[in-house]
Amino acid sequence: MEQKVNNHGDLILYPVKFAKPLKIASKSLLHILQDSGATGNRHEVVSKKEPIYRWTKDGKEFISCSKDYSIHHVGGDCEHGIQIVQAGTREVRHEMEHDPWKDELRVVKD
Amino acid sequence: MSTRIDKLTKAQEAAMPAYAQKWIDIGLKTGDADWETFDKYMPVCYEKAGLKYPKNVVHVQSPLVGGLAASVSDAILKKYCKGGAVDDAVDDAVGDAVRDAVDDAVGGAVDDAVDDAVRDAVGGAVGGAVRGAVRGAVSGAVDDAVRDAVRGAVRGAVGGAVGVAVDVAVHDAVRGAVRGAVGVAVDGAVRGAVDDAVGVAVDGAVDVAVDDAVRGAVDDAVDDAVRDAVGGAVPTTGDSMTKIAIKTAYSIATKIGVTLSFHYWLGGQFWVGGWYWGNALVNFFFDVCKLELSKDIMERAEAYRKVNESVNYIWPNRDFIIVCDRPKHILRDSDGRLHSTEEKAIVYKDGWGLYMIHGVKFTEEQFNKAKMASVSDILSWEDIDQRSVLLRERPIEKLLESVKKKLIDKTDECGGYELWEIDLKDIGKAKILSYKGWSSEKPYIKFAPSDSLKALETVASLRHQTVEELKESLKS
Repeated sequence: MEQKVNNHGDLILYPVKFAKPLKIASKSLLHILQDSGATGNRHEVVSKKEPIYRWTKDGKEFISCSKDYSIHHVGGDCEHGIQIVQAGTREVRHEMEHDPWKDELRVVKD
Repeated sequence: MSTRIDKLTKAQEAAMPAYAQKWIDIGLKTGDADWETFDKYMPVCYEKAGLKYPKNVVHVQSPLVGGLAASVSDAILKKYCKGGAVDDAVDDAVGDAVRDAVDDAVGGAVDDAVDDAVRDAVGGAVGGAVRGAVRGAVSGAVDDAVRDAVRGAVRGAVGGAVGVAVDVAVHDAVRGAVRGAVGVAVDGAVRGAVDDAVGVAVDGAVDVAVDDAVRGAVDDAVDDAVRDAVGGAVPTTGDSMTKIAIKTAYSIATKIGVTLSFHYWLGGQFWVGGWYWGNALVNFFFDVCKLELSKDIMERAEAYRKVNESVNYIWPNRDFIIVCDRPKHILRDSDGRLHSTEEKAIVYKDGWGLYMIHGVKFTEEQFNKAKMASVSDILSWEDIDQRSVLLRERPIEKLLESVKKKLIDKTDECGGYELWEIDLKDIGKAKILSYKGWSSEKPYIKFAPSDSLKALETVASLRHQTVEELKESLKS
């Protein structure tokens, strides 16, 4: 089955070929993938039963779960809602923007 | 009077919007709490739950103080007055038991007496409307802020320096609420430690030790408790009052050697919309449809209604009740979201509150900065949601009126994007992308790299995708 891309506001869960979680992977039913700080808005992935593994390799961030799970936008008006994330491995990509003061790219905070 | 509702009359259907509005007004009521009514009906809630009503009823002026004081007081009482897992379990269950007795029991009885389709219709038009306007648009932000503050105290994540000019009233409020809640149940040494701890907090001598390990250690059911355990934003960016309150709570806990945890609460006026049932929904059947159930159920419904009509948050415990006064003011925009560009959008009588613009939270520092922000400051505002609501106040067209600009590219694909080159006084020439959100009609703007030439290519590149991948991913 073709894997869907999850566009969750400025966070993208991009399907990649199954990768076995590294031993150092963090294992939990809930991971906060992005936290905006002041506004209290957070992008969270949540699984009811099967753990979600999260790790980084070569500067890239990955999550993996053996069952479907969900991604939530918590806090504020939760405008990005809840999406189902298909089982498998995803690369977590954060949308970037240009910082005109430092003349460099930075992660978009939402 | 009816004992069963299978169909609504036209008049009952027509009454739903006004009835919902009546409960929204109750949910958002400001001013003074009705302590007399609370004192009359809260004991009924305990009685219906089969619990003895505690002697110590403590009034607080903000949920910040109430949430922290309840956690500290409960921890002290568990350590010094009782002991063991059984007692812990009893305490944890008090709030649930009270709610089960007056909310769930009434909801269940109404469920049995009302046709499913009727329940769903009223549930949406009355319960859902009240829930959205009160809980969704207003109290959710307060809930989050208080939970963050308690989490900060639990972890000892008390933030940085708070300055010397902070009003010490918040120390006294937290300490006073704790002393009121623990009462004479603890000995003089503990009471002395509660008092001494204030000095520790004022001196800022609290050693911060955030335990990040808990983030990876969660293996329980996914619910609020899990969210509390793994935490969200540590409130190091909170206002001075929040930091002082957290420090005070943490200092008391450290001094006495107790471990804090979030104390169960009831939302009072903020919960009139409920999650599933709630006061607005069940009372529509009683008030408008003239449904009458057993005497016991009607008493439970009345008690819960009166309590929620009279006060803000409540922390029910076996040994104490901490209860919060109503907010001093609640300011909203035309969509009902917490909103003010002049002051805190919601504020309690002790001064604690939240800066919110069109439902998006700002710290005090950010809020003050926004008032004086230049065009460049707004366009480069670090948080894109805050930037978006600032653009609602100062629309991009007006903001750029005085700026030299040139449209570089425009596309209607993927929701539509415009790529502009602008010349700002303090930044110089720069590129910006202007667009509407995919999930909403909110205006967004972001700076793009200076070599950007095509709008869609720039968007895709910033999302680590090719243009084809971007288009394809938006179809799914």
